[in-house]
Amino acid sequence: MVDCQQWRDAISAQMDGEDPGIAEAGLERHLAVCPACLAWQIAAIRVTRAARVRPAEPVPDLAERIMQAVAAEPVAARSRAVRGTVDDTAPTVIRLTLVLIAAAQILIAVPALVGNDLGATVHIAHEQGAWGLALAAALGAAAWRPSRAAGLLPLLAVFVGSLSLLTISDIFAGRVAPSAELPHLMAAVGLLVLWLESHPPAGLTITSRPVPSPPRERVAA
Amino acid sequence: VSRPDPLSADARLAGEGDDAAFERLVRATQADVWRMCSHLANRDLADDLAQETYLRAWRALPAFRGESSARTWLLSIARRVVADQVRTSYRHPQTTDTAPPETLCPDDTGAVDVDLLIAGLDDDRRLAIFLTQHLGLTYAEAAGVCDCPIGTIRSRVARARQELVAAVQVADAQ
Repeated sequence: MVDCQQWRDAISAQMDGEDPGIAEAGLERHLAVCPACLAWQIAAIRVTRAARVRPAEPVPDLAERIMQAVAAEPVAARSRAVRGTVDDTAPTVIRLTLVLIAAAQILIAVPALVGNDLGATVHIAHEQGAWGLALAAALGAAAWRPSRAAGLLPLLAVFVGSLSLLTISDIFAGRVAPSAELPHLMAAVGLLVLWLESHPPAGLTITSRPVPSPPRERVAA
Repeated sequence: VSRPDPLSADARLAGEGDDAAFERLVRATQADVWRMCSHLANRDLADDLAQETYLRAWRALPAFRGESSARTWLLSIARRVVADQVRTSYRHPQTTDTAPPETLCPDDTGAVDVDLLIAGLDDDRRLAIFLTQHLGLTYAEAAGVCDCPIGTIRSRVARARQELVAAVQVADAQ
């Protein structure tokens, strides 16, 4: 009988058209050799049918009453939920540009990750590559969820700003050739597009509509 | 994630301020919501509880994301409304005078009143039977309403069936 518990759970689920959790062939085999479970199945089907058949219970039509109650509801009650929403939209051209820059960042990062022909030590090259990948992921994330763009700005701005100053000084000191540093322009363009995404100029804005935000208002428990 | 159903589409429209969509949602779901309230509390309180359910739903609709179906979402709100507003003193008084199952006898036709047997189940099992057998929810939907794993619904339904079968078998033996 103790073993039959799981069979009966399976029979019960099967009766409701749900996954019995056991191979159905195994269940059929068990029913063929266990008269107690077979009798239980028959009784359960009978009880289930009796439970499902119910007299039609009159249900009141509350629609008008509810619509009136809703109309009387202070708008503030609802705007509280709306106010928490984030405008998670951005012009497609901006998002596509971010995707392209992210892809370019990955292309730049890969040689640093797999090879060492950049004049740096292998480990420093790896660090560069890892940073490049992180940059690509951040830009991709901002393309996917524009509301993230603003949060990424400080990081990218400091990176681009300090790298620009150092690169310029390196070029004038003759430590690097200007052409070798062109890939860094990509990060600068990324910063610019990220800025446009989080601070859209009037001409670029699209009609924004309230989009449900992730911090969903839980119904008070 | 279920496919977008018309109800959930109306729920999203209602969240954007479309009152006609909200009314369609109310009309399409109010029978289930009222039955749920009536089941969890009682018939007399069900009107007010159903209205409160829709008020809460209306406030929360702007955040409805359609992760569950609108019907499941409303029923889970109804469950919380009843839990908040109905205190133990009001709880399903219709079951207080229920005879324990072992004293039940078959009527003239030999049938046992299954409703009485169901009323004798504990709250969790009664709710599982109500949602899956009376409202016809899938185990996954019932789990969404009860905020529990599907396996819990599965075993509550099975245990409830075992109790009912045992009671019927006792009655039949008399």
